[in-house]
Amino acid sequence: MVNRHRLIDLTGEITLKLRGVVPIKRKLIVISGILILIAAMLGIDYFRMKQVEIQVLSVSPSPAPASSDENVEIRVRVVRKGGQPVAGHLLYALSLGGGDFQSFYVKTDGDGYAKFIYYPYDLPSYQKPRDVEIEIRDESNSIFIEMYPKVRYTIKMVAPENSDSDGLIVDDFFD
Amino acid sequence: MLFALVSCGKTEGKSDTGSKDSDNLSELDKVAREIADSYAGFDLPKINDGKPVTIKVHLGDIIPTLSEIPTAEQPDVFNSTEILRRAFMMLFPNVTVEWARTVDTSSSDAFLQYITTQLNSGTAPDIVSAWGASFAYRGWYYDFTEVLEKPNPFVKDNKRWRDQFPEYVFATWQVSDAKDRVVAIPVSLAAGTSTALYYNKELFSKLSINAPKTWEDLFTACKTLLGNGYISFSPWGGPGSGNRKISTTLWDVQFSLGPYYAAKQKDKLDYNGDGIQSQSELFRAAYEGHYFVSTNDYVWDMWKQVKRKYTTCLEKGYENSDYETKWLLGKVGILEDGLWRYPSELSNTDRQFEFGIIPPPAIDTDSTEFVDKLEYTESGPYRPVPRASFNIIKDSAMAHGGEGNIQACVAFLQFLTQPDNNNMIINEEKGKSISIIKGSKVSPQLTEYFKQPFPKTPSFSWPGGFTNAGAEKMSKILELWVKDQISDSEFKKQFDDEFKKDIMEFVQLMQIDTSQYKKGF
Repeated sequence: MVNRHRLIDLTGEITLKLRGVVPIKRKLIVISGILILIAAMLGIDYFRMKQVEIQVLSVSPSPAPASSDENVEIRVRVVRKGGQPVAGHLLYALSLGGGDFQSFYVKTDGDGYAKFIYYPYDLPSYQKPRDVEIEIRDESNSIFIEMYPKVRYTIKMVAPENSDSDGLIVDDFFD
Repeated sequence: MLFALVSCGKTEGKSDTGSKDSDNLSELDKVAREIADSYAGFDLPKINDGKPVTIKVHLGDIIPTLSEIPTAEQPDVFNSTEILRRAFMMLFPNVTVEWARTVDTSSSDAFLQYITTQLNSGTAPDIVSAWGASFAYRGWYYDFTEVLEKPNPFVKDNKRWRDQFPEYVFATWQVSDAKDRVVAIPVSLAAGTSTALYYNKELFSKLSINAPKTWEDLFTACKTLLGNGYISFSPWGGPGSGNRKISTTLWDVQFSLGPYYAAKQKDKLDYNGDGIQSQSELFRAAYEGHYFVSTNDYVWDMWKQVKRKYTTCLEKGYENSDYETKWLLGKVGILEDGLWRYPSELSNTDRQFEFGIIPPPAIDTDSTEFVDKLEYTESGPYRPVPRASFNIIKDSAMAHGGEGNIQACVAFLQFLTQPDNNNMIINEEKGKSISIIKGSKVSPQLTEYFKQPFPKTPSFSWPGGFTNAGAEKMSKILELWVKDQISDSEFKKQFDDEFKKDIMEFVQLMQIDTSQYKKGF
């Protein structure tokens, strides 16, 4: 490939000058270098991601009543491929089917354990309970590009036995 | 981290693909259909005689998010109001509900300018969320007083829509205007208190300070913190805004001082003696001179407490300092913010210490003779004030379909205050508010906060000016005095002069009949 430059003089004669290919080659080298660097960074973080596993150890109670009065305890552990615990990593929990977490960020302890408290959604009288999918991901693992080890887990939900709440109601605050 | 490009780690289960969007859309429709079906057998109104009508609705911070599916990258989605919109349109196929997403409520000035322009061009929304009755003096809002006496058609066996709400909320400025007309329908209450103090528990323990319960305790805590080289108190707001900018509507005036000073004067300020000062009683008391600083010792004392706080409790340079990073590092003793901060503070793992949360400390008899002995609840809040409330802009609704549009707007607000529907909204707020509908549960995130005693804030108010312009001028004078740029006597005179002008302007704008009032100036 060459750059073509066209010059027209006063008589209308056209002169074509052909430039060399050296600048293009340089550009290609720089672009290739950048691409290789990004690929390397991706590779490193992909490798790191594959080395870490998030295990959902227990969900209690299970199945969980669909009521925000319930505290559903989700215990997880983060370990490396060889089984070594991953300490001090920031885990993020997300509910994809309603309800909420007491704290959506939790750090793993020295043995890689962490605990989330999930508050289920309140089931209106006209609805049937639907299971809730949660996602937990490790946000501390990547170095260059965010590639999170993550796990999804489905919490089985059932209708609460008693619709009367044991918890606070707003009327308690009116008088 | 250099890039945040992808999230493609180990996954068990579904992946986040485009097809899931459509799955979720149908999921929202499915829930909406279940809700709509639950009204089978209800005697619902025929809106606009069955003819098509479109309403444009602005719901403030409970308007649904554009993204409907929570992802790790965008976890905060708000779907409940979108589900309710769809359910409402299924029930009333001739009604279209459109979201008005561009209403400018960044400040009261911005809102005034926005609505004025939109009204002139005929493009204003029909329902807005804009500080309750604050702009009622403009004559924009529909009066709900009569319709509240009729049943909410979406609630079985309901006799009066009004009965769904605690009665005290109808005396608040978030709901009623100075003529006691209900110009806004509330849908939620503050989560106990509108505001709170977050404090560094470890620092308090190290310096042997108790979490302040009273106004005087706050000064003791601030003195110890400052004396030990810490930042005592971070007022709410960014540099130069919020409570860092002195104004007549400071949170201290609204929550820690004003109601308590006013309650002690109940014989003068609560004309019907029911223990609740309505908005018309508040205005009448101002008109009769009971809130002027030069003629009332208790008023003078109240403003002196404000000055005391800003001159002795806060660190120098508080106006323009950014304390957020210092809070995380444990260098700030007390941080003032709204309850809306609580959910994210609970999840903040960058904070290097355990924090506590307390309601705003109220003034007690150890600070002044002009208040009654402070009373507390055993646990939990006392009469939380409305958080979100919605107005119908009369002229806009009339221009967009006349009475039929107003019928649709009223029905939509009735639908949002149906208990199950309202709870669906509140649950999605994750502890930022509690329901205003009697019998509703409290969000579990708030249980811990509500275990402590709360001051019983009297149902009295303190006016910071009745018009936007008047309040701004009074605030400027207050600021000059707090910063020692004018003397006490100059403050008293200038402040009262502006207040009198503001009151007279308001009388004219609201066309208030003052013939039975005794003019106090």
